[in-house]
Amino acid sequence: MDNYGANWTSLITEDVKGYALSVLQDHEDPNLLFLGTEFGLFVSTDAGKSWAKFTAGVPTVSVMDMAIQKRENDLVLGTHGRSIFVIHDYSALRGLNNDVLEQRLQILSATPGQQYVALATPSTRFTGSGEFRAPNEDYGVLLTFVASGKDLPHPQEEMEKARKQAMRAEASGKEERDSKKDQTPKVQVTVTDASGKVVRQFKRPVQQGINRLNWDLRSNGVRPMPTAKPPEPDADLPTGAEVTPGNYRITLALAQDPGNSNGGSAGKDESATDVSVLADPRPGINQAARESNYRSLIALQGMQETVVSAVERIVSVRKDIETLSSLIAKQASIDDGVTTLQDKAADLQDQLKELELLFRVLPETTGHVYDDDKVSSRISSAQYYIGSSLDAATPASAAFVELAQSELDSAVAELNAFLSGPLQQFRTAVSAASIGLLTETAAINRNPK
Amino acid sequence: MSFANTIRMTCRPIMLTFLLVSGSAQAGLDAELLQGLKARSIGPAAVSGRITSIDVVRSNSKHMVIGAATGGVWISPNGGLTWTPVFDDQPVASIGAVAINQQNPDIIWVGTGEGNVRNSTSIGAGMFKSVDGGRSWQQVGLAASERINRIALHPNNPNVAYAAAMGNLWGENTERGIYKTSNGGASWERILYTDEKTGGTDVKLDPFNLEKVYASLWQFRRWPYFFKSGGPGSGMYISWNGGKDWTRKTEDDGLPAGELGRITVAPSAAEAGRVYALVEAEKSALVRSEDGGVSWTRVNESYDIMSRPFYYTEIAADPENADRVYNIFENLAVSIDGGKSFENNPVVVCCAAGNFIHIDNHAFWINPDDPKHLVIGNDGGIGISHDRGATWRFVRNLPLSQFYHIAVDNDLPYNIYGGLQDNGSWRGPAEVWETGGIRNLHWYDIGFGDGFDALPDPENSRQGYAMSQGGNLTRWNLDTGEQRLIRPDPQPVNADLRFNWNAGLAQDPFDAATIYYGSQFLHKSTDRGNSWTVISPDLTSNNPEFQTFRNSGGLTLDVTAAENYTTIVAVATSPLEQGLLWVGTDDGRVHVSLDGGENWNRIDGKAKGVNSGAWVPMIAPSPHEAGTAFVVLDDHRRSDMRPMFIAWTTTAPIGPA
Repeated sequence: MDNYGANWTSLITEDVKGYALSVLQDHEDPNLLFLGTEFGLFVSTDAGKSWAKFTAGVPTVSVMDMAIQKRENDLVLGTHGRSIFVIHDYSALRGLNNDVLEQRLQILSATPGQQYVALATPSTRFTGSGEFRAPNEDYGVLLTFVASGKDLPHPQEEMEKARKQAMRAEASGKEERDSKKDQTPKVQVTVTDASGKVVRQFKRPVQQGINRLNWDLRSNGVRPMPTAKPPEPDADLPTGAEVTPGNYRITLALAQDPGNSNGGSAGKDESATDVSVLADPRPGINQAARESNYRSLIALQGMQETVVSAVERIVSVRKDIETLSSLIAKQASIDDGVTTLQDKAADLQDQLKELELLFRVLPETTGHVYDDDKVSSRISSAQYYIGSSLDAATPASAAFVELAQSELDSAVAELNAFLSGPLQQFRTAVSAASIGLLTETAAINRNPK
Repeated sequence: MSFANTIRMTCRPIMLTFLLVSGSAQAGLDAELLQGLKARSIGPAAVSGRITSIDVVRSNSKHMVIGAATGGVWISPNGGLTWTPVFDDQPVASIGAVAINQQNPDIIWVGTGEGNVRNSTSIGAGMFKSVDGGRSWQQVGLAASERINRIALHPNNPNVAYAAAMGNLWGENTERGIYKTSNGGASWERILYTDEKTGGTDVKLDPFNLEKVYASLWQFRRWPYFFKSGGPGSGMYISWNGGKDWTRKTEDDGLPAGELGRITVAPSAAEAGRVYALVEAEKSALVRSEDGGVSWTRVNESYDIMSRPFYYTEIAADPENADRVYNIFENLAVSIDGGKSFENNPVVVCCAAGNFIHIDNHAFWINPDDPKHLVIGNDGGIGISHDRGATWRFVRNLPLSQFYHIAVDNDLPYNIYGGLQDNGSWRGPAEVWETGGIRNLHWYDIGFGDGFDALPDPENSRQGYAMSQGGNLTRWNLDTGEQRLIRPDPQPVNADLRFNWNAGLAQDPFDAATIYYGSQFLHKSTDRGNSWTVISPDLTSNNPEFQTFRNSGGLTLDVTAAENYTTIVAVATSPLEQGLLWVGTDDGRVHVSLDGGENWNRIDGKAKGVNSGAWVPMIAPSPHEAGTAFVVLDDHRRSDMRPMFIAWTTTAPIGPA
């Protein structure tokens, strides 16, 4: 028949299984095709010359229809038997080939970080186990990147077992390594704002092939208060206030592949991309107000940091005095001054406890105790107040911030007076008695940079 | 208007390069390295989907295994509260039968390819077996049987299993009939067979004599335009020696007269010798035997005793009361007088809102140690009862919906639209700016019946369109609740309109109020469906041999619009050029119009590995080149299960000057 210059070209290869049902071409990369068959989803990044079954979260199922949400670069699968699957921001597949998959580290795509205030879902709050609850995408910027290297875990179970076996075999000939510590590399994530200032740093696991991680739009928070159990030495900081809408830059860093380190050009070990954080369009709060809100929260984080420094100092001094007390006890009955020092130490410990109680409830206190008057509670009340909105402070919320500030000021003043007064005198006395060392007594800086 | 097969020679030629495919194969992406790009299952589980088989561990009735028509195998360890899919990585997703070895419940047998042979059924790949409670699976034979409807396990010998292999739906084959393995699936013996048109549909062991086997064969065949149940191959058989020798039961033994169709047998565990059977015939009947199947009495021949045997033929005898028997079909009916009279369960009812449990039942389990404990599987999922069916719990967390079509809007966050087999059309969010995740309550029911294409209005996503079977098309509105019928009228062509079960529907990308809809003609509305014009000639073969749906069914008529043929199934609008339209039909025609339907050009042709006359389920115009479209061809309805998919490219002029 006359088909006026038309060509029919079969785009099926032996990689495809199951009778075909649906097809879509990507709206940006003409070589990126999705094919739904009775037995699943297949993807080609070379205009149909080769196909791979897409198995990441997509089971064997009839993919009867597909749709692309262009703004999100989402592929939506309408399956005949397993409801709907969404592959969010598939744009990393554009131009993807096995060469790209061999890059040591390369960011492939980043979604904008869409801010929103989450409404409480209607109906049941505590659903039990029987309610169907599909997760949202992780909140914030979703980063898709590729990593490679035999030092990284392989996503496929059997391949990963083989990799670990090979690594053990290699290690066995060498010196005994400190096998207790997990040596698996992690990717270091650094977020900077438009002025280049670091707003957030954290680490995430990384595997061979396509990886994803999300930045939850939070800034760095304040290191935790001292507790009985010391934190992991390389632990990430807790999260702080959510940043304001605008432009940011995310840099990933990964230690070079030791397997390639002699080659010199072992591929990139750093990759960066610009990302935007988009405002929740609903509340009608302008950027200046959002920035004011953010500054208030950052100021409160500064106060919290002062509290942590103060408590750290108190804890440190208490430990030192404890140590001294035991040293003094060993020198007992030498002369009368010892008893006086011991009494003095006990007295200082009592004062330190009272000082710590200005800042916080002591760790491992049993029961729910009154704590509204603690400085840390004053700060968290103000944080709750300010953080409950994206808007600039109201007179009421500002008053809570002021109260926190003034209570912090007076508590720090009291602590500093103790450090420069009784503690300094004790230090001098101990020094005169030639017993050990004691933590310095310099004042706490109320406003660390 | 003119329907001349000519083209207006105007405008820009478009040359294509990127799709010129070289012959050399090249290494595809390493799919294992894409695992980080994880898809998200968002449900819905609001209406679940078709269940074909249920089995439960007898020593622990909380441990349930179910098979879904097109959704794999799922296991619940806690009485149906939570479920885990265990068949995701296997080559097929369609399940006909599941069976647990009750002595060692870690052994699970699965027969793939469902036996409820409706037009939209999938295909299987034989028998699978797990020896580790479903963690891993092995294909253990009968790979060419296409569908396994029932499995019977020997209760004391884990190596002995029987399978009712139905075989090919859309053609003939020889790997069908009743099979037996005596070595745990390593090899199978075909122990009962008549011909290449006939498959095994049921096999049961007598609870009082484990060497006694009841089996039935069924002659059946589906074409795109016709279904036929029944023929000389069908019959009921009994073996007294584990399947070595068989006795065929006939009219002389009390079965209905004439050619038979689908048959199922249920020996009573409550009383030795009592056996029930449903027998499809000219005059279908429930028959009963008191002597272990030697002789039969027709106890119920009412018109609805077997209403759709091709889709549901299942009977269950109560394990304690020999006179209580359930008929599992459209309704759930129970008899307490040995099958003479039945009463429909009042809450397993179509179709108004507020009913408890979906109709169209395929699978049923009675707790052998507590006969009030029932589990039912139907087109809408799973129901569980602890009071013999008076009240039910609907399992609300099995995302087994069978979508035909899917669409998205541009809201923030965006919504997803689609229609489901036997479960209407729905709209729900891709994500929610809420704390509790996407739940069933976020899904709006926007259309009744079987659902297919569902589209949002580009200017207002609170309204849109939903297609239902038989050409029904509605315009729904979430603010007013209206679901207004906008099915095209037959004017001006004055012909009976033939709409496919799943008819083509498309939105015009350039005009929000314009939609296109296909019968054998292409219909166009420029006012959101209030009025229609026909803008094409009959674009199908219009072959009368393919227009036999009015008599479809065989022994039992089943005319539901599912066999409508010589119809338009794909309508596609170019996002680049206004008026550039593609139309694909179920009988392999592809037409293009460059001028909004003034002129139509037939362009289906032959490419390597492609069948002419194959169904055209989808045409995807390239968003890059107006002269390119991707055309999917599907010929599984003529038993060719190969994937077929082509790029159509033209160097001819496209669009206005």
